[in-house]
Amino acid sequence: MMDALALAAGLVFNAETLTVIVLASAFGLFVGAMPGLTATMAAALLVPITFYMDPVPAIAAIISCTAMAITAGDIPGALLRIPGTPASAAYVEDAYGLTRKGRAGFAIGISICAAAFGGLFGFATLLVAAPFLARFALNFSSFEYFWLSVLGLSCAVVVSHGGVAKGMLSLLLGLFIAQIGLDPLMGQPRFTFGIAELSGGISFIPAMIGMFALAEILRNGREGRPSVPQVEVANPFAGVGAALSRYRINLFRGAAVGSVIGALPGIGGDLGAWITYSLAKRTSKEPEKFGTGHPEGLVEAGASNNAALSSSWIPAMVFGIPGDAVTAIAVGVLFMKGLEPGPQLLTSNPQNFYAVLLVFVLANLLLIPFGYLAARVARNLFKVPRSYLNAAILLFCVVGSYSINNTLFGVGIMLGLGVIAYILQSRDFAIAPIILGIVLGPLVEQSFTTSMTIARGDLWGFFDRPIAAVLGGVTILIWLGIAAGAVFSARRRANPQT
Amino acid sequence: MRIGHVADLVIGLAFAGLGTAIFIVASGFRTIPGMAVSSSLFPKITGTGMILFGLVMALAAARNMRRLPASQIVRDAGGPALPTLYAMAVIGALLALIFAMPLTGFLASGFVFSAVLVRLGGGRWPGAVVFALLATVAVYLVFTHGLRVPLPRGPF
Repeated sequence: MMDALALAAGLVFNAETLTVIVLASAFGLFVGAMPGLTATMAAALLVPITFYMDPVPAIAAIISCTAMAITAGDIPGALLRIPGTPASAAYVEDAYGLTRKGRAGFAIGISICAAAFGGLFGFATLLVAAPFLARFALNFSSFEYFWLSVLGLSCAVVVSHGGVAKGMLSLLLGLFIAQIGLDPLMGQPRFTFGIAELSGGISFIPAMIGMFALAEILRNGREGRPSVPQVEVANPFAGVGAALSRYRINLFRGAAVGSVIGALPGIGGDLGAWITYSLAKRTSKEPEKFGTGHPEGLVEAGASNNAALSSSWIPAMVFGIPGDAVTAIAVGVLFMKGLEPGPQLLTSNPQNFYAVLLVFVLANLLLIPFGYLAARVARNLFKVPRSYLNAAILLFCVVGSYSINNTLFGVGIMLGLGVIAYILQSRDFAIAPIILGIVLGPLVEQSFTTSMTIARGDLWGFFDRPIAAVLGGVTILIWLGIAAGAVFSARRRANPQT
Repeated sequence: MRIGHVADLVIGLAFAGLGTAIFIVASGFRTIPGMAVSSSLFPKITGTGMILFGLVMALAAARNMRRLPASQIVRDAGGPALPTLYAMAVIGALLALIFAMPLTGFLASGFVFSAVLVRLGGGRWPGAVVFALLATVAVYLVFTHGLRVPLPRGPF
């Protein structure tokens, strides 16, 4: 392990990787702090650049950019009541409530410090849990991988907003997109309709850019400049130490719960912030103060947010099963760079795994100075006219999509999928299941066809191995639960008085 | 609510239609005799799922439409049921760029594209022109010289 750590340190502590971390952090900070721009958009826009980097700097760019963007997403939440991420929506009322009391700096400071603590806690979880799980996963066959990926996809559908039918259709669309190109079994072209560019499949980079960056601009495009209720943000760290000490139980509990939730395949980090905020309220001595500018929920949910972000890399790196859209992008980058995620990544190339962990530590430590800077200049960031910002992002979308194969076909894919995502989002479809479907589609299909061949078409063969049987049982229980819920709500709608 | 439910009905039926098309196309894929699985199995499962959930969504939308009186025709909170003018203009600009770039090169088409986008967003012409010039040249230099991406040069 020490040799691997030394090698990992060499991969991270060099001029190229450190420069990438700082620049990606600054980029993530800018995107995250801009109202309406998301951490996922930041990651999607970075992917074409990572195409030209070595594997470790490429992953470092994604990690540091998203960690920073997610934390910076709390800034428009606190100052404008516009949450930067679905997770920060959980505690936006308290953050904005503090701003209305003239304590915007305090609200942002708590978010930054709790996030840094949560991120480091999540890193520790990753450090301990991932190697153990990787040794365990070495015994997995196609049956276990099939059920694990289906379980992850099922969870993604269950937690997606808009309902199960819409979540399922999003997922199926992603799985269909993943099937375009040569099939893994016989190498015959599927759904290519004689178009040569489609033989290689739909590249996930233009797909990401279209669905997250273009769709976001089409949706929020012409919004004007927001007005900030508090003009000057004071030192964001004043009084934060005392608050974190007072709410230390919330801090640790938020980080612990967030780490567990983030580690579940297909769940991602957003749910953690909502659960821990509600937990903080239920166990608080002053629940009536929640939503009015009370720091307790902010501490717990803020810690949970970044802890979940770190631990969501456990299923992504150990099993190759991403938890949310950001880790789906990161898993795509890992594949693109030849670092196929899975237990072998930890056993055959542990230096790469430890390098990723070191990047987590650096990114979370950088949150403090960068967060301070962002809090002080946030007001000026909001002055950037949206028309210029959108034009720059769209130009970058075009060039980024073009650069993957140096053809305009990628730009067409970006446009087509961006328009589809825009239409679907306007009807409350979740986009994350589409991305998970695109990234996990080949794994699901390959493990399914391999398992079917081994079992000679007998579906009971999928339950022969004990771990596969447990995973399959849990997956089926989830689907039975969904079906029972749908029947129950249909009956209640039919007989509202019962 | 009604506009939203019509959109849900249309989208549900579109998914069911796409699922049917996937199933039909997949039925034509080659199979290997004696093998338990073929290239068409997974696409057929995907297509069937799309038909099933697309119809569920369409039926739910149709039922909700019937339940609501015609007087309650309002936009719902989920988002715009129809694309905004801005969105359609951006899509048009991107389409024009895709066709123009091979002919005019990135610098010329990117410049016009950026300037038009700034104007569409509410910016003024002088600022739009200066911004478009700087942004296009900066992106061109970063990608062609920094990342070695051969962006189309056009006739220049």
